[in-house]
Amino acid sequence: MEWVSTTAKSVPEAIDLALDNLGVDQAEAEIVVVEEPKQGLFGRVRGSARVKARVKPLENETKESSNGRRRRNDKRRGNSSSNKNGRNRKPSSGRQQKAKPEESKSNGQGSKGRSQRNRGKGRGPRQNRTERDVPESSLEEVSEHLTGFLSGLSTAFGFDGDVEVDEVEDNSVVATIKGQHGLLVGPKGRTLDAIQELSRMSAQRTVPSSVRIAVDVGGYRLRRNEALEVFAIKAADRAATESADVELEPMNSSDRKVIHNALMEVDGVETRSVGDEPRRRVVVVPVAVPKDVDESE
Amino acid sequence: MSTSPAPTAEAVLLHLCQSMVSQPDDVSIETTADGDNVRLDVRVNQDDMGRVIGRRGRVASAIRTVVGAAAAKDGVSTEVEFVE
Repeated sequence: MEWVSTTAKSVPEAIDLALDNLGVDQAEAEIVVVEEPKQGLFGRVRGSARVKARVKPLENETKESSNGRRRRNDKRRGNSSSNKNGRNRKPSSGRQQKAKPEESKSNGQGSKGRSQRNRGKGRGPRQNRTERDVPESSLEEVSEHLTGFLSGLSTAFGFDGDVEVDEVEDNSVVATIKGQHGLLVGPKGRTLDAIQELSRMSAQRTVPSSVRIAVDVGGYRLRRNEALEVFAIKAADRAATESADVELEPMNSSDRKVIHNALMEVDGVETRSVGDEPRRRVVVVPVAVPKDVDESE
Repeated sequence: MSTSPAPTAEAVLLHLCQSMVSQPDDVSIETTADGDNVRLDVRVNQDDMGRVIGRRGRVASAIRTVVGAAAAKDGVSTEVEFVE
């Protein structure tokens, strides 16, 4: 199931959390308020707001452009066969006429990943596809596609094309271009973000699935996320010691998610997101340690 | 293509476009150089135009970003245009 459930003090906060978890804008999500907080005695809010949300099942499925993780709610149905047939339909001969010579020797995978591009032919614009039509490709097919796509990209850059795809958690993969190629990361990771976006889109077109895809170069994202976590903890310390909200700089949804996750288990603070994209940012809010709250236990 | 003023950018652009379209064989690139500024005109099958541009130009803009990085390797700056 691709619904995420979140709990917070108020409905808007719960929605914020859910959106950050999904990594999409509100416009792209379907949100259900499961429970509203009840007014307790003395105006104290008791109970909490619970919402569940998912990425809107789209009739136009070009959503892969959302910069966060996409989750589509079609479950695997084991019907990837049509897809498989498509995969083998067209060997990718002659597609790299202009590529550098090394590219051809890159590896077999370089071509495999893209071999299915003709699948959509005659089908009309993708917008006409409903979610139901989309077969679910297997994790393996997605991994293979990513390897081909990124390996081809890396060799086109003149690098060695070494790519590794790891399944990190359920239904989620990280494809890593090996080596410290700063060129592929770019200023503030912008090139890497673009590569990730293109990877998701080409995967979505070729091997449609609900597999979440992240792309890394030489462990850059990993290190960056660790740094973000450290930063989050510092912000939490500051919020707690100063008893004041700490507003972080604007971040994209995946970075915000790292912050939210890092502080989820930290006592004494809560996090929420405020503002609109692209200036949406996390606020770390100190909360009273639940001692003087109520005796519901 | 060794004579191209931007061989890396071209190879990357070709790879990206071919990965996005349904008719990879119809992708072609025309390169014109003006000093260190290289213009890359991409032609794709008409049916594939939407795929290389994407909603609100997101695909095109991501392609430009990555091709720009590749162009740095060639020591040039590039301008990518998608033409019908």
